[in-house]
Amino acid sequence: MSRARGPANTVGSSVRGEDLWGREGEIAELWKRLHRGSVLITGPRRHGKSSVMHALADRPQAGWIVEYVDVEYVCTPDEFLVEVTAALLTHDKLRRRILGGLARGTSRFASWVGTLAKDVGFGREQIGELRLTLRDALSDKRVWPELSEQLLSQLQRIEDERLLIIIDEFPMMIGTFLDRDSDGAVHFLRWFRSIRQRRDTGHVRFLLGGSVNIEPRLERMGQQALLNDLDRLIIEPFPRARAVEFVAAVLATEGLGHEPGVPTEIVRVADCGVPFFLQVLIQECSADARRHARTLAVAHVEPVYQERVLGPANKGRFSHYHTRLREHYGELEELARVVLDELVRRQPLAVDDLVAAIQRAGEDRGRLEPTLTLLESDYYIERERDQIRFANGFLRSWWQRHAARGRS
Amino acid sequence: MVAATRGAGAVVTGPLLYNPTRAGQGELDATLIARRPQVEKLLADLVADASRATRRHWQIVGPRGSGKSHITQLLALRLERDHGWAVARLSEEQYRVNSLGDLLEQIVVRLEDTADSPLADVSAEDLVDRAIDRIRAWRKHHRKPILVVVEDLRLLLERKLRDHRDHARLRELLGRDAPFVLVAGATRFIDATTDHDAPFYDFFQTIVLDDLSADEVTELILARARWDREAALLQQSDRVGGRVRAMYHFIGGNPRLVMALYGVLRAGVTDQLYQELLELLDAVTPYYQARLQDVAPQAERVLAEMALAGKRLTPAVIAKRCRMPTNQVTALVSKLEAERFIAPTGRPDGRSRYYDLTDRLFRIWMQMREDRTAGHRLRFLSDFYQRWYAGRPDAVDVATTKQRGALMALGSLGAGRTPATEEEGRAWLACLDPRRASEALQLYERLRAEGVLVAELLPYGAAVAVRDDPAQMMELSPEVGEAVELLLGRGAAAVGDKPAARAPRVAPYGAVSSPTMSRAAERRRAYRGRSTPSR
Repeated sequence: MSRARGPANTVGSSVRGEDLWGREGEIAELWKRLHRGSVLITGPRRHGKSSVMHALADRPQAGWIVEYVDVEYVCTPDEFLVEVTAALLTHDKLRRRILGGLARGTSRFASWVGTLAKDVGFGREQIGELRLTLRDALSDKRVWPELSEQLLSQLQRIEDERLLIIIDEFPMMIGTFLDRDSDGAVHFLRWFRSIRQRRDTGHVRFLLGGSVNIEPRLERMGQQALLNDLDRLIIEPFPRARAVEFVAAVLATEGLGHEPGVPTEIVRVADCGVPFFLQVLIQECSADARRHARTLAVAHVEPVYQERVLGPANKGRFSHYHTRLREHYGELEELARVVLDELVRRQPLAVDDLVAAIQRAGEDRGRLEPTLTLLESDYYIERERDQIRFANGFLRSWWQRHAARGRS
Repeated sequence: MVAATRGAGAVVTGPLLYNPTRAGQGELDATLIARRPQVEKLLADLVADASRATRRHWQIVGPRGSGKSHITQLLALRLERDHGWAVARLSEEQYRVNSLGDLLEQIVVRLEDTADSPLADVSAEDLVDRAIDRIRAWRKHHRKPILVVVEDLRLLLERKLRDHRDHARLRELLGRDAPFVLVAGATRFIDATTDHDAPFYDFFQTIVLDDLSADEVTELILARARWDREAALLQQSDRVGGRVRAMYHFIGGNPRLVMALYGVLRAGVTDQLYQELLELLDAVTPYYQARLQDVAPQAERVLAEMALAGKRLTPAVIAKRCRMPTNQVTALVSKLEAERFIAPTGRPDGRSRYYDLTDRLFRIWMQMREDRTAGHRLRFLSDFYQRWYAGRPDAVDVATTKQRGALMALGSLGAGRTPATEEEGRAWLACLDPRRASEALQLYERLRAEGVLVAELLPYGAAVAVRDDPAQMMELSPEVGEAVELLLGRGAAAVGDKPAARAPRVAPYGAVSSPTMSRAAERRRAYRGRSTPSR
């Protein structure tokens, strides 16, 4: 049952350890930027943002303490405080610093954390108990800013090391805050920006990441400045040559016999360097080869892609590309479809070419720019100067097969 | 259904149709057909993952009866026995789950093997955290990896855990430091895993189960017969193969329906495929009736209309036939698609999307209940397939004698001895070996031209029509279309055809046409509406 060391074919969920492949450059860049300040990590879903964040938590650079929290299910700022505090308290060194300082303190924070009974465990196996105790002791939920300030103050005691708090799914949490209490969410974001910018929290850094892009929503509210201080790092797809190496590494780990040209063919057929799409194709090729008890040949790849990945077996898996326009684009839906249909026919296209196409379709050219902005922020398309194209070849193939009009 | 008991002379009430979880590992292993490479790979991955930092969770996607429970149960038993894992398998209906806390509590109950929940006194607000701690503590104490099996992911995520927060929390729990590995079945890709904003968006490692091929269906029936020690069935394995190939055109490759077919065949392979088909339809009636109980009356109406049409329809056409507003039908079609009753089959005209039923036996079942003429058509079609796959030399001898008589009579057509009745014409046709396709079609056309046959007969009329106009193929249901392919000599491999186990000893009408796979595969693609984009 043993498997070769290297990246397994993990399709979807974030990876850790040896399964993370080819992101050394991004990780090094992140550490470099974190020395300067807090960072927002961005990119489409399934491009590997969480995996990179896990890598920082699993292998901190010398001189750093790292704690990771996933906050997608957090609904209010006081819950956020409980989550972060509980996570920090499970870390031995941090707990000693935080609780050690309390013996001499009489602050509200000291009272709060002081309620932790001696028999409350701080291991990962007891984090539920820890969380519940902190939650129950937080009788007045409005005091979260004060408690947070005092927590940060305790963290100042870590003078010899820097602290990195990774907050995964941060935009999702902010989206929930905004849904529940818009003013409260803005208040939280203002407070959070202020502590990032304060000099006395200089050795505490935040790495924020998540699955959705919250910035267009903040922009519509006129609050885009609330995240402006963050340095941005985009997780890009692999360049073609790197993608081929990645596919070869995954195939080796999977122990799947294949012809020498298969990795190159997989990248050519998928027409993108997004690990997720490559891995979906690898998985289907692997299943096909195993079912037929044969070596994976170059000639098998394209039929598997057409029949399995783009075909009925996986149609539902990617149907959100289609339904998302209907559910979220409102009056811009039709124009978005016209744009994508045009890009199926020919790409890249200049904006002027698109203007001509949408006028032929009887659409209002005044709506083109907001439509392109939306499509770009949802990672359907990418723009380079005046040229527009699908964000990746897989998406273009899928759209051509399942959604483009007049070419079923 | 009751699980079969192994051994000759035992009381056996029927094959294991609906509950593989009651079967033992030996039975599950012996009757695992076609899925073995997937099971072995999944098992290897689960075991390897236990020593890696990455936590992968799995969904097995396949329609009802495709073998999901069979796979998960076999996995569970092998992980427990061979690798020392603990397994918590939730009940299919998840009656006691209405929140994430409930779900975790049920896992605790199964791990600790208690009748009463040790968390019974915990409040709803505290349940998730208490249960998580308890699961982690159990794992640490027993030092065993934990597998949690959920039969129906859609039921769990779309009906039981309806709160987005529960989804997000469960996803967080399954992420870094997951206390257990989740393996779930799903009848389709569900919104909770495909919606771009959903916490479980593309989260699961996915295995898609395909229908079995005709060869695999035969293999499954024989494997089941071996396990049940059905000596009589095993002794006529050649005839079983031929019969399965004929039946395959009516039932497809869904393992549950194959097991229903096995239930019919174990009484003996007869010369009456039509009768066996009727018995099969009786056997699956409770299953289809149960499925329809979940469907609204208006949707039932849409399904019936689509079944009776026998071809693909657009929502607008369905609406007209049902005398319902198009927007209402469109909504019903979406629901039926979600339930896997129907599937879009493409847009051959480049505009409207066409839909068809996904389960061909269900369509026949519905036709037989609602259309008085369906039995007539089905008899002709089943007769055709029975003779196409006939493998018994004695049957061929009888048929050949009759064929000679039919040919002699045919020869007399031009001599002024025109048969008097349509019935006689049909009788002649029924005597012909359909594998002498070109002669059969010639005779059919001549009988029609002479006015002996006043009605089109399946599948001959359809084959003539398609030969003259290939676009006509789009109008045919799969089982008719496949018969046409065979008659036109181009469908064998793609529709699971192989020459009968023993070829006829007498070949009075010349050679059998050579089937080709590619053209038939193209037709199947065209029928399903798959188009291959140019790259």
